Amino acid sequence: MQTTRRDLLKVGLQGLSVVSLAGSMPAFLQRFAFAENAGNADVSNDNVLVVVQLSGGNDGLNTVVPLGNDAYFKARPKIAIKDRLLKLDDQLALNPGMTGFKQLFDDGKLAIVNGCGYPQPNRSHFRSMEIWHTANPKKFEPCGWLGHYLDHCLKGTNSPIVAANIGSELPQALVADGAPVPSISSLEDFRLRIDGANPLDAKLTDEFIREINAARAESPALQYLSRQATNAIISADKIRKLSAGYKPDAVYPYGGLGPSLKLIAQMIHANFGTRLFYCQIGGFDTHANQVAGHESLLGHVATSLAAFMKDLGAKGLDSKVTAMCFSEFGRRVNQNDSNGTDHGAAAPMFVLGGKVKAGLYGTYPSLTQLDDGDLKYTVDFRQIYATILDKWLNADAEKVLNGKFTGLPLYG
Amino acid sequence: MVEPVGLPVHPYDPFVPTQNDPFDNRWLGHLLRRTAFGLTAERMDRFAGKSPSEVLDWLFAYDPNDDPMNPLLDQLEGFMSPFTKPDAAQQWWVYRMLRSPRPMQERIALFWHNHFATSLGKIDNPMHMHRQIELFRRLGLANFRDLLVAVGRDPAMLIWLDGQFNRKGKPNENYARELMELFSLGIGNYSEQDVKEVARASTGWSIRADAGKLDPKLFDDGEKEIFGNRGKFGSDEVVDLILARPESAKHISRKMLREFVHPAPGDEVIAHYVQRLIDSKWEIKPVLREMLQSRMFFSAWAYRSKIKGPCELVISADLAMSAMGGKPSVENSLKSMTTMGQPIMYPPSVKGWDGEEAWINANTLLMRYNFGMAMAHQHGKEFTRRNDVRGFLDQRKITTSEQIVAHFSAVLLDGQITSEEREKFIAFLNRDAHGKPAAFVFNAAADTSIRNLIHLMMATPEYQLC
Repeated sequence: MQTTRRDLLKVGLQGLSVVSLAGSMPAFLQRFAFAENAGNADVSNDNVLVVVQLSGGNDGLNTVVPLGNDAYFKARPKIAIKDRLLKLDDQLALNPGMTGFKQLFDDGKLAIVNGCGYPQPNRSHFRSMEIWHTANPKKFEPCGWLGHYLDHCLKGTNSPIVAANIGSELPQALVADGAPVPSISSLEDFRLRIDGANPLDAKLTDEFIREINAARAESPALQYLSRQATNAIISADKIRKLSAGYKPDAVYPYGGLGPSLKLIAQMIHANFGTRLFYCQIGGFDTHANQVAGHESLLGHVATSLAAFMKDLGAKGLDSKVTAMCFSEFGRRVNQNDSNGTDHGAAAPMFVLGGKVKAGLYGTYPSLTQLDDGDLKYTVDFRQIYATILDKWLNADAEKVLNGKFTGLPLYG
Repeated sequence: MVEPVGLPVHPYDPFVPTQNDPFDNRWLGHLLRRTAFGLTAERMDRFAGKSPSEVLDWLFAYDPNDDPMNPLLDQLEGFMSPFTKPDAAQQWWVYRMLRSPRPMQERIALFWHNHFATSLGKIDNPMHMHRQIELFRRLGLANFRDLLVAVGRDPAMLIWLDGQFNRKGKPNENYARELMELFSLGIGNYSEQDVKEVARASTGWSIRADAGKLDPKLFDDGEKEIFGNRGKFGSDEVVDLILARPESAKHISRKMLREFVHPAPGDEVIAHYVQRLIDSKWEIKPVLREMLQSRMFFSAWAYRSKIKGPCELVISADLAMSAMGGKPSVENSLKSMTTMGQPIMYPPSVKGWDGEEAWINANTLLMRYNFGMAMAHQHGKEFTRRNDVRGFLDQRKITTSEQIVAHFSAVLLDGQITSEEREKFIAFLNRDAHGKPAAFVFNAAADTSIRNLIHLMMATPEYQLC
């Protein structure tokens, strides 16, 4: 893997010749952080999108199981799932761990899109993940598809945090030209701390830190860092004021997606105007002895999202939210000899929310007409992106995705 | 904005200090940040007036097979054995970074840890992870071929990328793919067919008595075709075939330059060190030393061109602060680097941490600045013994606000601040109890202000740069 986000961000670090701390700067902060966003946001609703990334390559065949298909059992003598399946119809069933999703499906809130992929699938985790993040299988792009959406449609939104990543590392999907998207791991820690031993000293220190981190232009690196810092400090100030008074109305799983989705529910409840959230969970790279671990991982995903929808539902907010789950690829049809599966291609995506029209979408790929041992995709994942952009976020999908993709009737 | 500055002329020649460009605190700080977790007051004293060569001698002159810390660690319960818990393995390494008299050994191991990124998340036995880091400490500056061969049979790697399940007639491609994509050739420089064939050639390794062993019965001894070569290749031949490809030297040259010199070294610079790697027959040490001694390294182009990783940031702050008598907590150092996004021994994937700008976002930057506060004030658990800032300064006869600002800006920022900034820092100290300008008094009440000054310097964009 040769390309990294470093190559992409327009702010390179090369060429630091001036060594300097702070130029003279007036008091500064509010103006700087949002100045570049001046303009009118093209927003006519306040719908929220939550993207849940399943990292490692989720085995789609053992997620949405083709229960009547002999080829499935032949290809996977040791790892095909036969019992306790959660039937969706006569042909397909969910992995037994996913009772939370089964309930959402029956409640009319979960759409399952089978056979999602893209042309000439890449089996590298990193390249394939990039393709999903940038929505461009052909060439490398610096910004992500959600970043494009931010740049095209949400510039000038009057919100301290128009998009947020929950976790420590910003996914490329959220890399935008405009103001950097903050990553937040917990609200408690998301603030600038100052030692309080001497109140006057504390006040001066707080002011000084804000000042030395205000817009700096001596070098690209300092510009990048000061932008990030200023954004962080201001976002933290605002978040702390707004986030009080949330109580969960559901039991979230401990660890994994649980705390992330709970934090997202808290931020939606606080109504910061955050339109995009991103969170992720790993462990899907199941090369060996996968059955039990994969079931429990899928169970965790389904339970976490079911709790999230329940919590939002109790607050009357579930009709404002769509969540979408994807993974960078599915896995080979044939199991390997370690009772696991190697990197493959097409796999299902999940779209859920109060306004989503439940059901099965896309054609389930053939298990016999394969592409080099892998399932052929039947739905281009960008069709899902386009649907969500058009129908949910009220955005010009063609502009954001830089191409035309036929939508699916996920919203009726 | 200032235009980017290019490479100096004769970039690969050794840097020779001159009167106009002496080997001063700026260059010492630069070199030690990239190789040894940064400056400390003690290191400034030790290397004052020394040449780059002398400092590099100190960095590189160690025998990796003879570790003076082992007897000490053997005595410390909980560190050397038995590694029953994952965080014991992590703490063992943090402890070495903090205490080792040869920081380069830990720094190069950190580089290879990110290159061959293996996570305890999949390794049940922390002892295996410990052995892998020991491997990087032992062979980190040795020959890359030996390292690549050793990694292929390293127990942690056999678990991490499923090499232990890769058997004759039942290939598992996980290791083969990453060996080429990430560890040597780089993506796009091999075919899917090569992945399959390299997987076959790498069959048969399993873990016996905590070591990788080849079982001939599980090895696929049939003919393979790799990069157009046919033969009954095994894992050692695979390494030779891979290293014979020029793309491998390019990939490793680029990675070394990005780690130690510049995040975007450019094709010309990469090509120069490709040749050096080939000439040296893949010896890491002489090539790295040349990089670090070059005019290119001691240039405005390379200076502060990188962003400190959380591990570098935490260890360097710990070292700088413990000069004043404090004792950093190993446990909390580990926790700090974890909250900033680098839980060592738990990289996010086999690709390792992306580094550079990816280290920085709103959350991690707040964590970094808040860590600066904790380092400066030491009220929390970050230090098992709080330092004595005033006692330390007093002993060094650093008592005026000008001297205090000069001292801490030298240790923390190489003294590279403008006169205007210097004035502001001094003004921060020169005030009375109501905040009005007044002469600085070096008394007990000044302790908080001096600590806030340290916090301020660590909460700058510059301090994040490496």
